[in-house]
Amino acid sequence: MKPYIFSILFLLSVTISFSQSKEVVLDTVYKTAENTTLNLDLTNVGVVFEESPDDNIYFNYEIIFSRYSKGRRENVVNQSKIKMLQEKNLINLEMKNSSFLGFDYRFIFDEDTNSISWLTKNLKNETKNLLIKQKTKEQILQEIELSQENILNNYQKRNYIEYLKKKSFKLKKQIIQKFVIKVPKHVKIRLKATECNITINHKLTTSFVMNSFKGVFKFNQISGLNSRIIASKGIFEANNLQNTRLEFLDMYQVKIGDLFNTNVVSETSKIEIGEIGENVEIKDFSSKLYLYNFHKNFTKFELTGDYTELNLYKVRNTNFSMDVSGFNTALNMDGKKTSFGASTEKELTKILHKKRKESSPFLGNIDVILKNGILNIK
Amino acid sequence: MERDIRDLFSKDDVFEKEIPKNHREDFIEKLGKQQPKKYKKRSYKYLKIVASVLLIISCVFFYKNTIALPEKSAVEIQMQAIEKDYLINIDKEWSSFKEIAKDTILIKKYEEKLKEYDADYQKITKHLKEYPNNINVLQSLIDNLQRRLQLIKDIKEHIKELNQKNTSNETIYI
Repeated sequence: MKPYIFSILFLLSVTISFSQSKEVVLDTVYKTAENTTLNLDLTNVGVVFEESPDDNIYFNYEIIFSRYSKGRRENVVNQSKIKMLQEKNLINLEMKNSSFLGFDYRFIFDEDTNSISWLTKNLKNETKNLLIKQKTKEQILQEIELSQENILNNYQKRNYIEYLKKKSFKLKKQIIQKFVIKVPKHVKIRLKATECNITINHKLTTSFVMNSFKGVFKFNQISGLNSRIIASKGIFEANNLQNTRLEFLDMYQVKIGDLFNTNVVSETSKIEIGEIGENVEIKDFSSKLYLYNFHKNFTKFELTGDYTELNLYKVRNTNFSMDVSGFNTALNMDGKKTSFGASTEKELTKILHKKRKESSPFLGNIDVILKNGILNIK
Repeated sequence: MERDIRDLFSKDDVFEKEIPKNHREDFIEKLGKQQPKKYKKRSYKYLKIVASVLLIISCVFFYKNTIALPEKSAVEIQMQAIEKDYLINIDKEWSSFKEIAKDTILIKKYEEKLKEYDADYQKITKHLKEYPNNINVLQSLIDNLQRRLQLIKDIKEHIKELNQKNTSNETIYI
C-alpha cells in the first residue's frame, strides 16, 4: 500500500482541483442615505436586482466552475474588471466581463463545442413573420413572466442544452455566474449597460435612468418621476411603466403590460403593449406596433408614424373615438386592402373616423397620423 | 657454367621469317577485335532536373497543406458557410428592396443601419478569433446576420403593401 500512497494522493488532489468550485468575485456592502444614487456601468454582465432587506446595498457576484483547473479558474476570474468607488451619496460600480463569459448568468456552457449545427436548426422559423392575434394584458404579463424561461430556452440555447445532454458527462466543463445586487427602494439607479442581462424584480418607485446597447432587460414596474430609458438592439420587457420617457432603437422585442403617462420614441422596433393607459404618445419610424387594448380611462392617445405598421384590435366593439389621417397609407380592414392619399404633395388626408357610442362609457380619443404606413384593424 | 645471353639469340631463327606485307593492317584489325566493347555513357542530367522539380513541387504541396494553412475547425467551416449563405440572401433582398423603394431618404436610412450592423459584425468577428468555440460569440454573430436579413425583408414587405393598386380618397366612417 505504501508505495501507492503518493499516487492515490495525487489522483485525489487532481480530482478535487478539477471538480466543482466556487469563486467569489465580489462581495461588498455599502450603507446608503436618503438621496443615494447607484451608478452602474456594466459590460457583458448578467445581474438580478432585488429589494434590500435594510438600507444597505449588497453586491454579491460568484462564479461556479465545474472541472476547471485552478489556473484556468483564476484566469477567468481575473478577466472581470471591477472598479468600485463611493463619493458621498454616489456609489459607482464599473464592471466589465470578457465576452468569453457572456452576459447570461444562468446559462450553462462549455468551451469545447465542436459543432454549431444546433445554432442554425430553426432559422427559417425564426425569420418568418407570424400573424399576431389579439392578446389581453394578462396574456402579455404571463408572457413576460415566462419570458426568462423563453429567453433561456430560445431555439439556439434549447438545442445547445440538448447537445450538452448528449455529450459525455465525464469531461464537461461548466461555468455558472450568479450576480445579485440588493438595493433599498429609496436609492436611485443610473444604469449604463452593454450586452447585459438585467432583471429588476422589485418595483422602482424612484427615478430610474438606463442607457443600453444589446442585451436583455426585464422589469417589474418603473414608476418614478422623470424616469428615462434609451435602449437599442436588445430585448425589453416590463409589467408596468409610468412617468417614463422611452426611446427604442432597433429593438428586437419590446413587451409592456401597461403604459401610463409615457412618451415613446421608437425606430425599427417590434413593440407589443397589453394596455394603453392615460396620456400616452408615440412617435415612430418604421416599427411594428401592436396595441392590444386601451384602458377604461385612457382619455387620450396620440401616434405619429412614418413607415409604421400599426395593429389595432376590436376597434368596432370598443367605445373610443378615433381619427386616422395620413398619406400613402394602406388600410387593411374587414379583409379589404385599400391605399389612401397616394399624393405626391404629401398632404394629409382623412382616412378613417370612428364616432363614440353614447350608450356605453367612453374610454377616450385616439389620434393617429400615418405617413407611408400600414394600419391593420382586426 | 657461364653463358652469354646474346648467344641464345644469335642461334634463334625467329627473325629469319618474313613478315607478311599486310601484317600491320591485320594486326590493327585483330587488335580492334580484341578490344572490349565501349558502351555509350547514359546522361542522367535531365532525370536529375525532373527529379528536382518533382521534389520542389511535392515540398510546396506538402507545405501548403500542412504548414502554411492551419486546418480550420469544424465550427469555423460551418460559420463560414452560414455567413456566406446569409450575405448572399442579404444582398438579394437589398437589391430587390432598392428596385421597389422610391424614397431615397428611406433607402439612405436603411443603408446606414446596415453599415452599423456590419461594423458590429466586424467587432464580434474579432472576439470569435479570441474565443473560437464560444457560444455567446457564435450566437452574437448569427443574431447579427439574422437581424440584418429580417430588417430588409420587413421594409420590403412594407413597401410592397404600400404599392398595391386598390386606392381610395374617401374617408371611411365606422
